[in-house]
Amino acid sequence: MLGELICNISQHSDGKYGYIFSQCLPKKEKSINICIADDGISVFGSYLKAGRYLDIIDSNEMEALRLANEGYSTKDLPESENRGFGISPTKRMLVEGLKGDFFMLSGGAFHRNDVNGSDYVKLPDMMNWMGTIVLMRIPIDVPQNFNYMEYVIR
Amino acid sequence: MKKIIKIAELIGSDIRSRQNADHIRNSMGNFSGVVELDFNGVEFISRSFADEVYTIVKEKEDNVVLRNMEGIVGSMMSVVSDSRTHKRVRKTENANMKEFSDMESLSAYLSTF
Repeated sequence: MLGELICNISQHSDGKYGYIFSQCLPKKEKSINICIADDGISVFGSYLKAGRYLDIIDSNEMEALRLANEGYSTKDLPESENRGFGISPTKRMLVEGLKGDFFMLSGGAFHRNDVNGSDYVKLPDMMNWMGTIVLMRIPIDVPQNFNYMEYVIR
Repeated sequence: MKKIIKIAELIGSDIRSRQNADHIRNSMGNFSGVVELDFNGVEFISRSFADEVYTIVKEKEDNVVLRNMEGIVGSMMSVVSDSRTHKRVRKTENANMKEFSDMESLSAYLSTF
């Protein structure tokens, strides 16, 4: 999970800096919380730079976030996919498989996904993060029926 | 002429991230013969790394042979190989789309977390 999300920084963000923070809360929360951030061009900016899916995205950063989280790659491979599987299965593995929480803030929109549901939110115009921040709450106790390979999509 | 690259010795037995594939590329250099990538001793490869290995195979116009990909290593390579030859079927999320134009309404939403 971490490898995929960290690679996104070097491959897509165009940022100068990347950040990783983590904390382990073994008692009450029983989770490992991880924050990965960059000061790049945001998810929306990445699609804009690649010139892909702009007819769907228009100028809506929330829509760009949705596309990224559903696996729409900025790489141009129309007949097969070798990219763009990073965020989507990572998130499914975390939320569906491990019963954790996922949060992504990019530009003027954020996405949160946990066992209660999935929201995409467009922030008021005065709020904007020049880059992308991903937060993950990973439960320490892994469900017995969790199988990593189930989340490696075909 | 054949060159054998022992992946476990070159990178390790638990291999993650795309960048690790650069070690293989560097090791291959400009060698023009058949390259054998020997995965003996490798216990795990991430999907992203497997994807890069697949790219290396294609870059060398199938002049690369993969050996000893057992267990999850072989399964992961098989998954990647399948996905490269089939159009991907994406799952559309059943998600809520919300737009906030002022801090007050956003704060009200955030308070529900």
